Amino acid sequence: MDESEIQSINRRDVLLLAAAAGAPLSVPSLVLAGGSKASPPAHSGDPSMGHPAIETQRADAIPHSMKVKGHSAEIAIASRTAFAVNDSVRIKNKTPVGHYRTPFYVRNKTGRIERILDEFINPEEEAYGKNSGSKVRLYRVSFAQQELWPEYRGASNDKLQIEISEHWLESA
Amino acid sequence: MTLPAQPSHDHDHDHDHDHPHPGVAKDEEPYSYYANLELAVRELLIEAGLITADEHRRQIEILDSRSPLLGAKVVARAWTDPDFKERLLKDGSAASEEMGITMYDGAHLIVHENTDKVHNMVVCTLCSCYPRPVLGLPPDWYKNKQYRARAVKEPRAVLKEFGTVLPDEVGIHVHDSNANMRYLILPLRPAGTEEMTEQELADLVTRDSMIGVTVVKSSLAQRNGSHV
Repeated sequence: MDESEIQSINRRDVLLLAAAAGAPLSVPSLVLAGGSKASPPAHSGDPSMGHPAIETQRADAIPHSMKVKGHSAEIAIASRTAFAVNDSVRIKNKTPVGHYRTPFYVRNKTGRIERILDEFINPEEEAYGKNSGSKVRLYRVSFAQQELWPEYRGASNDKLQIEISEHWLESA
Repeated sequence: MTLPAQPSHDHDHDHDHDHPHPGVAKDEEPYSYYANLELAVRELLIEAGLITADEHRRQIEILDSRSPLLGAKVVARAWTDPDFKERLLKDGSAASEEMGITMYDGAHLIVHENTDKVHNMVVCTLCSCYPRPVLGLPPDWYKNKQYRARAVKEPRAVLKEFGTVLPDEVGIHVHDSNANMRYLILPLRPAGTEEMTEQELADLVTRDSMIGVTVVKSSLAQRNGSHV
């Protein structure tokens, strides 16, 4: 590849991809809520982020212990979750700018927690170069298809399950 | 910048070149924007010493070595070994690695079991997330926008187009593989296969049945249709 081809490439794309791959490039650091607290990452300018159901840790929040595989050893991570299996939850109806992995079709819809998953780097920040540090809890949320699609033509026991990060959930 | 290694070309060229060379494709298409971008980033990462060209090559090699045969082996083992099935449903990644199938990409594999009451199917509405360590690369239709949009909204109509018609008593569970998990479906073991060996069972299991758009048939003839 010669230099003229390189110059035709959007410099921002190169920086983003190189940063995502771990290259030591200068990217703006992103503000995150700390460690094992159940509070969501701080997103300024989004009033729905401050919903009390998530900001205040539930009194009966369950300790959630799971094992994460390392290269040669397993380390146990004790953490807390804001929601428990079978809790009724609603997906927040917000439209942030940027990259996010909560599709429109589940927003403002009510389902229940089917399974508590691990914690992962928030993809909304990972997409812009943050690939280490604090993580957000992920859940599998189950919906009745009729809840998602009022015109749904199928059996009443048909369901849809999807992975949703804690900061997109509120108690319903 | 490091250029990809050129093939050695040390033979004489004294014969005419007005004839085609079968099997020798020329790179006539110019690289697309994103192909150029990938090459540029890769070269930068190699130059910076963060990865080596050989590591990159090895990763591609691992990616290309995976196929649905691996998933089929996992399914057949689960059908014949109840303890393995229990471990597989509890932790799909660990059980697969037990069979020597490494999760080279650190995938968290969740396995869903089809039963008389539930049929599971997988889609990635946002892109094309797929359990590559156990199934290899996804089929084109899996990445198609029509499949991605319709599988979540009208799964029974989509299944019908794959030749899969299920009664209303069987609930359809659609799994949107939208984030960090990857999903493998454990199909229902067909009736009449009680005497089969694990390998014979593995031979019945198809890629599409592990994505959940078809069911496993009890014989090859049924699987391929009557016009073999």
